[in-house]
Amino acid sequence: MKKVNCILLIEDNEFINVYNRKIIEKLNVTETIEVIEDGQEGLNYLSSISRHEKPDPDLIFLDINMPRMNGWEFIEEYLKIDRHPKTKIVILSTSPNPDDIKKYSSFKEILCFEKKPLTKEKIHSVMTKYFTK
Amino acid sequence: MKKSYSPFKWLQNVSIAKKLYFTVGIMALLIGLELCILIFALNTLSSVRAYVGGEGLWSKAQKDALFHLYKYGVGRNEIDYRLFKDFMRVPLGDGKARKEMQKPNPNMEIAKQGFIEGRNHPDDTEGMVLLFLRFNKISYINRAIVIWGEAEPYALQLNAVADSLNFEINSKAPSQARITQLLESIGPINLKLTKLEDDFSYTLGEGSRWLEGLIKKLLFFIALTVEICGLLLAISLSRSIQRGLNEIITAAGSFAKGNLNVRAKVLSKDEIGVVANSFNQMSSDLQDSITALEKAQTKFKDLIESAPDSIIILDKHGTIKLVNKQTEKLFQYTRNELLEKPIDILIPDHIHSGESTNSISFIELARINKINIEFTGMKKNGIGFPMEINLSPLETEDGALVSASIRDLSERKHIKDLENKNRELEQFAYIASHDLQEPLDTITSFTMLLEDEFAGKMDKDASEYVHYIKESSNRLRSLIAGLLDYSRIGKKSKLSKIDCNEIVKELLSDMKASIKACNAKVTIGNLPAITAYPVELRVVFQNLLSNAIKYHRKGTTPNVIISSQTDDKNWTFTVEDNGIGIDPKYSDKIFVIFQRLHNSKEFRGTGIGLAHCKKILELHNGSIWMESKPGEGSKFHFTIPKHV
Repeated sequence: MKKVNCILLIEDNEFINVYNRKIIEKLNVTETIEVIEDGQEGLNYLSSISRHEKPDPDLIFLDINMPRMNGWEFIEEYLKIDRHPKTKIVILSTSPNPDDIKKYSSFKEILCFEKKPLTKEKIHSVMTKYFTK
Repeated sequence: MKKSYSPFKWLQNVSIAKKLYFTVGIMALLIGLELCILIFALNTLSSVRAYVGGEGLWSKAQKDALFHLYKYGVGRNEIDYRLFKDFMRVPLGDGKARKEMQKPNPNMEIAKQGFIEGRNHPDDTEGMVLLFLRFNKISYINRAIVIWGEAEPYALQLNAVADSLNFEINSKAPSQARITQLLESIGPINLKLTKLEDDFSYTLGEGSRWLEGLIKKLLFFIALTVEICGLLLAISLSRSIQRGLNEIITAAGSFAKGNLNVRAKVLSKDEIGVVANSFNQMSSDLQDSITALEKAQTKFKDLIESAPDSIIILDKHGTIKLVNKQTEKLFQYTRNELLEKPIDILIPDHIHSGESTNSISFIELARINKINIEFTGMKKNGIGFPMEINLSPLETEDGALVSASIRDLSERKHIKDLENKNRELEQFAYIASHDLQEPLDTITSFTMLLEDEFAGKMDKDASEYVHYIKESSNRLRSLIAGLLDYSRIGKKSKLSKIDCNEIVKELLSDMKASIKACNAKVTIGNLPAITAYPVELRVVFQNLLSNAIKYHRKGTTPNVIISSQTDDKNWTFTVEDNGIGIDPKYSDKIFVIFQRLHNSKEFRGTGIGLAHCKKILELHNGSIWMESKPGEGSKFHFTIPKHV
């Protein structure tokens, strides 16, 4: 299992962020973990990457239900900006809508949809499947 | 059948023109016949007259001859003798004619010559010959001929006397005594002749009177025949025309009064018959048209009556001209209360927007074919209700009319409200369950973290508490998940043909573990392929099957039978078990969401499964019910219509 440089967590619930960070740290799969609390902040973060103020994420865990800008809107905007071509997204959701899954699964940036909560097994599975090299 | 021929029938059936020609023809024929008879009679009478005249000449000649014979005897002048001979030529000429005519094949010319010698006028001779030949058998003529024949020998005797006298006078010694004797013999002959001449005249006179009488009778009879025939023909013709006309007039009058079945009797095949037939044809055609019209009218009325919407027909002033049953029902007025009333009593504010409130606006709206206009209608009791009007113009003989079709929107509005509330509730359930789930996820996550990081560091009580938190969280999660699924039933799913055998086989494969755990026996009948919502139908089978296995009696082997039946309209499925059974008093309650009959310690569950099934079957327009004997087992039946 390869260790990546940066994992970005976009999630509005601070408790879940605490938990997710803890789990990821325990697995020791990344150098840094960045936490953003809504989609708009996430976009700001991505634009600061281009200015090299923040590390470039290899993997984003994206929540769908967020205030201000939800996960889907984030993806729409994300696909428009000048970005790191290898960044991958895993969508985390409490109850994914089947229509949304159909619509967004065609984007190669989106690796998979995972049901909350995040577990060690789920992270492990993503890392071994997509970040082996 | 042999066709009998009757001249009356024939006459009845020829055209009136022919009938008239026929009548006039008969009359002309009869008159012609009468004329012929008249001419014949006149000719005959003229011939009789000629005979009488002839007899006069005969007698005169005979008397003249006699006079000269006497004179000769006294004066002994030869001239008298020659004159005697001259006069005697008359009776002799007539005699020649008579003799010729009495021959079997008489020579007309000789006979005529004889009469001319008898000093008759040549123009009369032809008629005299013909009368003799035609009527010699008639008693009068016959007798006259006999008399004529009898007179002739006397005339010859005179001749003989004259010859003897001539001989005596021219002898060498004429004897006066002999001459006197001869002259004396003349007297008796003359007497006899006079008698015969009279008889001849009388007989002919009688004959001519008889003939005259006969001709009179004949002419009278013929004239009578002509008149009667003419009269009869005229009467019959006029009667037949009148009868035919009367038939038509009576039928037409009756038809005009509305008796459409009446037809004129066709009495003949003449022009009247043709008119009667034409009238009948016209009546039939009219009757057909009227019947068709009446049918169309009835159909139109029935259509309007049976229309599901209220239909009102207005004139251009907005006066109600026609309403149907639905209108009475909708506005709670009777028909008579509405007819000839202004529409305003039903639609007090019928033009919301316009300054004009008269119903011309309705006509204008109708002209532009305004549809689905929403108005507030008013019932008889003054209660307003929402309604929708569709207007269309009707151009009729009575001017422009408007047909308004009105639909009560109250119920539709009510249903719409209900639908909105239902949607809100579902939305609420969805959002609530979703929002409830998130903090729950957090609790679960941290519980897992606790177990993970503090395993072995917590005392027994702390571990137990963590366990309870975890278990409760799991139960809450399944409740919320069930609620979420329940709120989503029927959303975005599509009907398709599914083989129930396939569904059940898949389910058995999924449930392999729990089936094996209690050693259950599941028997599947031959299930049909049906049209249904696939995901939802699967949930129904899943819930019923898992319940049948879950609620088994301790110590018994669960025996589950899945079967199906069919009728015209529905598929009926049954899931039967030998489990703990359900008290029938709960047979309704078990289908209500979150209603449970056992606590979680006895049997795990959320109280959502059967509610779920019920909602799914309602989605299919089907139904679900249960039969059970507690302690023996339960049977769950559900139906799905063949046409969902």
